[in-house]
Amino acid sequence: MDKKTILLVEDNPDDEALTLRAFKRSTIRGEVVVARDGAEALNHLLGSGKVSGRDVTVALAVVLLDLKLPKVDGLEVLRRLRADDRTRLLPVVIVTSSKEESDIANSYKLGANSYVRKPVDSAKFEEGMQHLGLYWLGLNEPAPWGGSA
Amino acid sequence: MTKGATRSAVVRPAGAGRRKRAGEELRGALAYAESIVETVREPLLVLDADLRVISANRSFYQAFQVSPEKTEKRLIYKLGNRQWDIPKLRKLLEEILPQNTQIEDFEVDHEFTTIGRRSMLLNARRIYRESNRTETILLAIEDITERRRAEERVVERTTQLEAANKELELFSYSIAHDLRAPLRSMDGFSQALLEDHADKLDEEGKDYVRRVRGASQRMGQLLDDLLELSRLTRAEIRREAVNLSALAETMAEELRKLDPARKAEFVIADGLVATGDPQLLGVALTNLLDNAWKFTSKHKRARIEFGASRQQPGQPVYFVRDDGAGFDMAYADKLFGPFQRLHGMDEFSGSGVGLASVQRIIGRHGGRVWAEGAVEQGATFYFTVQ
Repeated sequence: MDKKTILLVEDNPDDEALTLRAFKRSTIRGEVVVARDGAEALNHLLGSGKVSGRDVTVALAVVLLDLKLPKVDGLEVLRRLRADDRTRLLPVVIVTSSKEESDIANSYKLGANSYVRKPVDSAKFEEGMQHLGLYWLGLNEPAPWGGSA
Repeated sequence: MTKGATRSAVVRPAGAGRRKRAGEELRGALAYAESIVETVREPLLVLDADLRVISANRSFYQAFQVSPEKTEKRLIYKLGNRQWDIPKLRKLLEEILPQNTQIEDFEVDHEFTTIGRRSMLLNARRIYRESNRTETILLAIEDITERRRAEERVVERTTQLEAANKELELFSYSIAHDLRAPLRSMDGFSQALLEDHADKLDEEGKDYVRRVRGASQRMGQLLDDLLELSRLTRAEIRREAVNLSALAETMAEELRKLDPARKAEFVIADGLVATGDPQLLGVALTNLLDNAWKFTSKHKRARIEFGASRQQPGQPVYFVRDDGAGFDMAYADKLFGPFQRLHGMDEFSGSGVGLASVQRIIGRHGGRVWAEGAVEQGATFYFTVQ
């Protein structure tokens, strides 16, 4: 059985490191692959399907998507994912510092499955990331890849 | 006529004296009217039933820089460069005499040949002279160009101000927002240091790391407060009935739960309802009650009161009163400034933004907030809502 994968789209190397550490310190069993900007994420999900050489399309459980990304921002990534049959059903969780009502509304309107605000407090941040990982890799059933039932 | 008197006298027909007096009175009245018309600063035109100029006052000739020759006996529409030949005005003027109507505040914007672009306000009514059964129209013209320009300037300034304000708000918002990420890094890696490398740190090292973590958390709190403060000014304000008493009761419950061991008495007046934004008023009341709770925390017993007094009919003055640490009235004007604190950090925590928030909220509701207190004798915070 393939190990489940999380695609983390995050441009901040510190947040990336803290998120990976959080997963490592939890009981989550799965792989985390990181894309560092919106273009990289799209390229690999809709393009070659590979991020840093690994095929992510197999057993991709969830995409953790930051909103403020270089090149292509989070909402645009989300829009394109939902517009493509292959990724229309792919679970996407927005993980961002923004608390703006408009960001929350727009994310859901564009088809995000969940919206999580990154806590400033690192203990809460770690706890939050662990919750996310446990839920999406553990409890949740991944959507079939390719959008087909 | 006296009998037997022989005097030289002018013989007049009977009733002539009366007519003479009536004539003098009429001329007197006319002269009186004319001197008023001449003194009045507003340009005035008198028109006959055919809308020809019978006369104009000196203010008119001065204001429009024309001569009587070019004005008297002429049709009003033919004056100047036909500045009064406006269809809507024609209709109104032509109705005055037949239908005894008036023209009230009719505005004309026009490029006048002699005086340039100006805005004029016209008022006209019928004048009927019983004596000779004549009807005339008195037309008053007021130059409101300066007034209109001043109004435009105000609108322009207000727009500029609003734009600048909005820009400033967005700017402070984005700054506070962007500062969050580095804070998370500082906090996160300090904690990671303590957890993953505890064996490499001695007690002092661990203490240093804890201070770094504490500082970054405090800064996070400050940023949150700043953002909240800026959000309060941007938010749309609703107007509903807000049950302040019920809100206070809920808050009192929550405070008691925070520290059940504390002996604190809450005295909350019943049925206090104000009109305003439920969320914003909630924030204001929370801040005031939180403060009362905080500043009575060092006393064995505490009494926190929320109520209202009617000093003016119809306008209740709400208050939150406590019997805690109080403050020195000498610093009363600093109380509501953002980040102003009257107590040291080790005495009472807090970033000092709570009262500034209260003032912003109450201000947006058109009310006032002020405080009275004395050191170690408690404090009372009063506020009105519109």
